Amino acid sequence: MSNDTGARSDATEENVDDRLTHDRWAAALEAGEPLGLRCGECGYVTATPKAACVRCGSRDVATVSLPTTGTVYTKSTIEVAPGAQGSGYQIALVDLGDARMLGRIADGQRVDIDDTVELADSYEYDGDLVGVFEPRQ
Amino acid sequence: MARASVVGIGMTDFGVYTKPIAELFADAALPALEEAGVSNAEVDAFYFGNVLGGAILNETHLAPQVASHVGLPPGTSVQRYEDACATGSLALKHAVRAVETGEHDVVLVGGAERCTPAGTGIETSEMTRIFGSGAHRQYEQAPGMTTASVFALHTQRHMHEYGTTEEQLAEVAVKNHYHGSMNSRAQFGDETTVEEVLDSPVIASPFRLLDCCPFSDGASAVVVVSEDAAESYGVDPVDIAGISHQANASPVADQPNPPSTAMVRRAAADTFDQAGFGPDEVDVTEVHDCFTGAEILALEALGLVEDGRAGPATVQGRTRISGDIPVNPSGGLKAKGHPIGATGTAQIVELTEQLRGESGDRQVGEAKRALAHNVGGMTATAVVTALEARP
Repeated sequence: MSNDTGARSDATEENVDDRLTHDRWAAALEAGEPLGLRCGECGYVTATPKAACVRCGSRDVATVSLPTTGTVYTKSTIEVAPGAQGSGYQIALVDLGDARMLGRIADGQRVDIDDTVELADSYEYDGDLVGVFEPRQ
Repeated sequence: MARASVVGIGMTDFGVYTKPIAELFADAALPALEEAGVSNAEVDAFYFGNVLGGAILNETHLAPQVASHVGLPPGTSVQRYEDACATGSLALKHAVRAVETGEHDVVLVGGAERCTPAGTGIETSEMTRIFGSGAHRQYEQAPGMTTASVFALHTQRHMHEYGTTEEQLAEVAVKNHYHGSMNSRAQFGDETTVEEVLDSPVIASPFRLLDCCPFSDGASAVVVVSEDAAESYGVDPVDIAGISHQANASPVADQPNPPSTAMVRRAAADTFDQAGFGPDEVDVTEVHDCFTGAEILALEALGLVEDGRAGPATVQGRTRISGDIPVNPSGGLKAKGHPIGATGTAQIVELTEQLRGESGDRQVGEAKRALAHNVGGMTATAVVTALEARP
């Protein structure tokens, strides 16, 4: 038990400088280089920042680059939304390698499940940045 | 061995109200206490569910205000609960635990909500923004996900994997409106048709307006006591045989295998384990049909229907009052309405009446065992409750 605790502490210290914050994640996304976290214990990869693994709780999580091309897992076209979001836009859960990210589909574009999409841009809503995807040409 | 018992119920009609939250709740709570034969001084604790009072009415510390209005003496332990649309069931969970452990003898639990555009003067797009506050701000709200669209994402995947159709979704609305037409407390008393559902405007594909529950105001309340004391209250007690609360990851991108709603599967397994019966022995169920697709997901996650078969089961009439797995005899959120903080205990009101045989035209014959399913936030919280009539 004490050995386990020690291992987690070490892992945390090693990762302090590497911790993926929202600001760093958003800056990378804006630069077209999406970042995620891979768990050193269970292997789960998440597409958004967390302080520990969302699946197993391990603090042994390392920042990893995510691919910019992925596959649509599911999608919805939204007609009724908060005013500042507009309407008639599509969102999609996109599988980027081993991670899944909720993104917005470029205005005027439509995607279906299993379509290949690429990270094309970023979109800001109320101060927060998200990835915009479009179908691969 | 039950965990607790329900000895009093009350609820308002669901619809549009402009009266203060405390007055609205009193209309549900006072009848519940009267039915139980409990004086206000006998109430040890009051657990109150409300979700959007802060965002809509600038009211947050509501439990003492509502308790004072209802006339619960200052010695009563009062608390407000908020867990999005699962709020009322979360408050119930704590009431069950309080009487089960002997901390309290009598707990009044319920909820009230005022969140209709018509009753608040807030327009629909702004109310959609407020309802979306249950979503992760950075990773769900920002891309533009709404309450309807998270269930839409699950449902689109369900359609892709199992061949579920928009017509099958519409049949859920048709069935729940039919049930609601027999419920005088329902917000929608009119029946609808598959054609009307499919002709209504898209909200978040595949959901159209008539796939969605309405914005609703209303209140509900139940009186919870220990199993041992229940017989002394002068009404037929209904036992809470099991209740389980489980969470899912947030944001939805981190949830395992949508449309599985893994937290519902865990909660159902735990609840059935506590209750000592399984899905095949349930006579009547209330599920959280905030959208038609949500009922499809619920039937499968609860084990009432095998995965992928809820659409055909609905079309075959199996989930009607007359079917072999009656679901949402109240009309559900879809037709009865969904005043968020009041929804969880309103499900208990309906099922208690069903188990007492007091549901009139919408009575499910010989109902002895019942199940409630209440989901909160962006498929991130679930509470499943098992109820049982006494022999």
